[in-house]
Amino acid sequence: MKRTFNYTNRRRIDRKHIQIRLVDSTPEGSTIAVTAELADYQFPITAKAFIEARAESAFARRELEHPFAPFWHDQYLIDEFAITDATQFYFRIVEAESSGRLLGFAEDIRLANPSDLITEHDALLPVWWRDTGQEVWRLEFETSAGPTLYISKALQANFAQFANDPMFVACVVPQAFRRILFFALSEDDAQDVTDPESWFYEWYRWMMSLSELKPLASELEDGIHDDRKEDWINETVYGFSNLTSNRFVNAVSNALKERA
Amino acid sequence: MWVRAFNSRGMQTFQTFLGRYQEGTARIEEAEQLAESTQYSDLVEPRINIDIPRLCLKRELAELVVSSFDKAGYEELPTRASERNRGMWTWLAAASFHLIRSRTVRNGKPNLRDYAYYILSEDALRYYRHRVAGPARIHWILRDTPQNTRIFLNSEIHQVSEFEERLAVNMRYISNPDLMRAINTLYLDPKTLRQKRGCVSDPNTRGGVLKRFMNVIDQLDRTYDLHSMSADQILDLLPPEFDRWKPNPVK
Repeated sequence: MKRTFNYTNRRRIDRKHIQIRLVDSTPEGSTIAVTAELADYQFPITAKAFIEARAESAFARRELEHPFAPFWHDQYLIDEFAITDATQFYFRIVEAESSGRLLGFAEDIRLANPSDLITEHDALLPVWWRDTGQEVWRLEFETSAGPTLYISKALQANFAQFANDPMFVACVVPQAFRRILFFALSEDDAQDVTDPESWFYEWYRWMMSLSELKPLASELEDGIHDDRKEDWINETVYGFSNLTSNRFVNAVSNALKERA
Repeated sequence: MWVRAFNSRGMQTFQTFLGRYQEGTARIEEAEQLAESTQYSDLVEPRINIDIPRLCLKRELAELVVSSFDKAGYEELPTRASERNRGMWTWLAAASFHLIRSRTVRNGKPNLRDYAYYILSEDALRYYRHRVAGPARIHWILRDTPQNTRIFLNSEIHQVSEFEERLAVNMRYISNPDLMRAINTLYLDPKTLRQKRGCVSDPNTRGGVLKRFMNVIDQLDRTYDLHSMSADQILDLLPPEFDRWKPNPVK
């Protein structure tokens, strides 16, 4: 039996928690979008993170900023060599002190097939930082690209801390979800759930992968205001909040008890 | 002279020249004449001016090439093996053939060893073998820490050193300045500024040699992020077999 030792307690990051897509490829270089779900690994927030692209003798490395936040994603231009399906990506989490000790790693990650992303909620809602004054978060919509969640830039360094806080999640996520659904079904920008070009298509596919949520009746897709549409949104947000993995009220209640 | 790029006819003629040279039926000067002839090549744009000396070291040729590209305003060394770049580097090899030609002889005839030394290979893994592009690329990558190029470039101009063969080929190693400093600390003789005797020996006959270093570094890479470490930290991680190569501590 092969035995291995892990003297330094570095953690292997499951490849399913990291996704890398090729966004664009031009003579100037390849742009990759990196999505990571590292919050559960509880790496120190001060740790550094790097992504490396390797292909035979070619090598490129980029430092990632705050990748421990939930729904984290960012884009990088790799101009050292052309990114292809053969490119291997390595993820490295490094102790903040200059010891160089690895705290976590993932090896041989390949470019994700775009269809792999359909059920990944973290790819659906991009999170960016910007100056939002004293607003903690803000949801903005672009007709073609869909919603983006903006978080106050002032909170960027502590984002992993408060974004894991059940109080924050319980208060923000259902409301953000409700607004997204209203926007998707608004009269001006009603989205066709069967149109793969629509930003809402992947959202809807993800929602329908959750067996607790009911499908949207086809007569409600036309964008015309209808009370039934609002009912469906309320039912959907209710069902989402009631998912075993969410149960937001219970989560808040437990958090309050713990703090008391 | 202005740097040019061989066209397809130039590439073919140069390859034929290399064959004739190996047969002992071509003179060294013919390579230079081929480079000077305008029917086999086109001017490279933006224009690059270079004066290749009659005699120089590998390091000096690499510096000259890089500074020529720098002066011409190139932000990067055109290292991708596109048709255009292959024509240019092969032309540079022809223009400096008197410097970079192999000195080895087999059966009384010149032995050029590998055409990839002179004709830029399409294979990225053999790029480093080109005797103009390979050293120039090393100098370009390490230009912020030129002292780190010594272990690669203080060797015979017409040979691919073991350090080029094993390290320079892989950007993962050569793009790490502290790893390069650690290698220079271990294997560069401070008196001669050339590699220490025996440092590329068979690892079965001597401990801590280059091949062992590569193996150990690949093992450490699984536990440490070598790009985040200083040269001293890397050296401290090495097992005792490397002590013999470390400089004597100041007493």
